[in-house]
Amino acid sequence: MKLLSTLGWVPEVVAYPANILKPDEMVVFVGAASQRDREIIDDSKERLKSMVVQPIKFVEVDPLDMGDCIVKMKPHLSDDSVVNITGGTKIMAFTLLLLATLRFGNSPRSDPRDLPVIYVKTVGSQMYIERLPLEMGAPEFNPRGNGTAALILKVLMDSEDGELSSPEIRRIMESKYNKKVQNSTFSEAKKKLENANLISVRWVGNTSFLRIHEAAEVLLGVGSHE
Amino acid sequence: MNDDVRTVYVSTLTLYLYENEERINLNIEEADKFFEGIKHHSNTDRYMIFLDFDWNKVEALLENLTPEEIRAYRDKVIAQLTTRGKLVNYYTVDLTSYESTYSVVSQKLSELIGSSRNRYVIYVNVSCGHKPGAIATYIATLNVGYKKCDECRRRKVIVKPFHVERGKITNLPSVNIPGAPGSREEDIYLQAFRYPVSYEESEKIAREMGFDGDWGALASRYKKMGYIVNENGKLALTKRGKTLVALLSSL
Repeated sequence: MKLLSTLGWVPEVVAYPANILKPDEMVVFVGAASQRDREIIDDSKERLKSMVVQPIKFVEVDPLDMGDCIVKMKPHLSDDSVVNITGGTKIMAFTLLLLATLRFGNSPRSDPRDLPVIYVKTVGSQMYIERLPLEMGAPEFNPRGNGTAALILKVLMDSEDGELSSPEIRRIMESKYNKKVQNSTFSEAKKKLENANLISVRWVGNTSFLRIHEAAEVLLGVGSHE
Repeated sequence: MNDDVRTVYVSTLTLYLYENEERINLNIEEADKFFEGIKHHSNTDRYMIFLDFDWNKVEALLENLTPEEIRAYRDKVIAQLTTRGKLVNYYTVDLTSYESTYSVVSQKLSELIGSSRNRYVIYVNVSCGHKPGAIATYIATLNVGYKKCDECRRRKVIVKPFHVERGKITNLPSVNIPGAPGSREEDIYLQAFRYPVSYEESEKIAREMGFDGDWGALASRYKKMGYIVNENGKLALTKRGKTLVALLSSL
């Protein structure tokens, strides 16, 4: 078992499940949002090391940047992972949660997500491990194929600052992916992505500009085990 | 936006009361995050606040805190909500409990939009409160919103979940997750496959464990989820299945 945990100021909530579950491998995501935070986090790391017997692989992330968290966390997920989201910031926890659980398309078996997520609840001085009863499959939405919506995301992801005009996206889709789409198909895909909160759309005159949201990267590939 | 579109702002909220030096920062950060979230949606038709204390007693609770915590909470939370008066509904929940929060958020949102003929845009601020409550609020809102869409056969509800902190807004995916919260209670019977077994043997073990439902359906689900595979004529756990069994055995 590989235990992936987010760590903040309280190392006990990471150490407790480690000592119960006795994982073969421990990966701890950690990051400081300020200089003051850095001192506390460094202390937290040191204290954690003294609380568990396993060697720990610490992975530094920007605790308020979902894009950074996705890139750094994604490669560590595997079929033998259990995810502990008790510590750290909500952005760290939400990123790890989405990476570990959010499935797309109709074939869960081919998707290595649906990894168990645990939370350590503290009541008085007593700690309990709870498995969050999550089942986050989105069967109707498969942004990883070669559909128009998926290609829009890919083109935006590859762009310099994550924003492009609709005509530019269509041009790249045609030149790079050999995909020419009708206006209505493109508009429908754009609306679908906007409703899924994966892109923002702004208008300059008659031209729409699409900006990809950081969380969309959760949907594009799932790391080393894909 | 059309006249028949109603906007709803959903947020969790906590007030840390324990005796600890870190509490001061946590309360100030909580007030900041709440303020940052609500100021982006100042003209919403309705506000639903899920909190883990009694809102009617908030002033009394504040008396136990430091002046800077009181100032932050009064200016950035209480002032924001009181100016919105009757547009705000407060619901007390246990934000450390995923299931309890999920249940209350689902119920209250369903009551609001269930029979309505309006279209809705629901903004969900997941920055505040405890993590299980914030996650449950996120998923419950998606579920209620998409269920309404399914019933109407056209998109009636748009859910916009976000996190905000120190001026940075992070938008979260809004996708249909039918069936959540997951039927994870039945995962315990995966232990019937602890050793490679025939289907019949697995059913016998599961029955002994107390399972009284449709074993064929559950075994198919395990297979579909990638927890078990056929191996030399027997059903055996995959790496993912073994991991889940190891976890469940330890809880």
